[in-house]
Amino acid sequence: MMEEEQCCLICEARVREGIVLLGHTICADCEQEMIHTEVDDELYAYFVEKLRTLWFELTMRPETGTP
Amino acid sequence: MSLLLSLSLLVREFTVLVSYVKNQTFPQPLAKREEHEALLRFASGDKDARNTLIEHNLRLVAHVVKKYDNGVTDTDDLVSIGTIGLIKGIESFRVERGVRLATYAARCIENEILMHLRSRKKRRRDMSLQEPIGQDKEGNEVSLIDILGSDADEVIEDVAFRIDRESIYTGLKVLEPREREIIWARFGLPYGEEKTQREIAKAMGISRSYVSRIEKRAIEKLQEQFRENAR
Repeated sequence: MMEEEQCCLICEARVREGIVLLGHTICADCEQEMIHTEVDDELYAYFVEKLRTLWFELTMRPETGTP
Repeated sequence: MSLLLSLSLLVREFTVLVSYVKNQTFPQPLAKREEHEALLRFASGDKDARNTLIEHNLRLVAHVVKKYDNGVTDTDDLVSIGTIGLIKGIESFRVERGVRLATYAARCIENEILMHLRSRKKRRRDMSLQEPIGQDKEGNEVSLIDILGSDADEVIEDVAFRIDRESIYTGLKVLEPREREIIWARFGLPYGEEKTQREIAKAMGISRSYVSRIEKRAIEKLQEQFRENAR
């Protein structure tokens, strides 16, 4: 449970619970939708696009080690 | 020149990936004991432990991605796809199966990437009705729908005619609750006011682009349902 509301990386809703990955939150609804969406589904491409943010953040991060 | 540029971008992307794995920008793997404790906490419902397990195994995603990084799919897309595989892996991992978490998670990441690559290969064989297939004598673009037996408008009218109210209501049953909610609001069903994606997004507390994607998928599901009913 997070102390403050965070913006879900996928649906942008304000949430208090979810997966926190490298400082980004994925709400429970989106997580469930994401893991149950087939790879050839239109929505899957949307999830992939949104998750690109993680990779972008990682490459923009100064090379100082673990978070 | 553009080929050279693409190649250099590809090499750069790959080098960045290798460099970030080497430079330990990814969270370090958990020690055996830490991992065991996190697994126990996760099994008892601790969501923070789940987050820890996912985050500290992101490095695995990078390792598997390196193996499949052949320039067909963007590296960052493969990382996203691998991350989805990792989340699935952590969610479905069971200690009692006697497999190491890293082994299991790596397999899940690999499966996800392979499913994507297979689906991509399959999609390449599909063709859209609107896809240009050539030009006529006057140089106008000709699409597949233009050369099919029926007149394009006739086909569309026929499809529209079939989508009557009764079949829409029957079709709505195939939708998930969130998809149904969006379709009802967008088309003002049953006799209400049609709402914009922005209005729906605001009411549901989600982004407009997400509403748009869900709506598109719901319509595809309905079309599929109507096609099956028409057979």
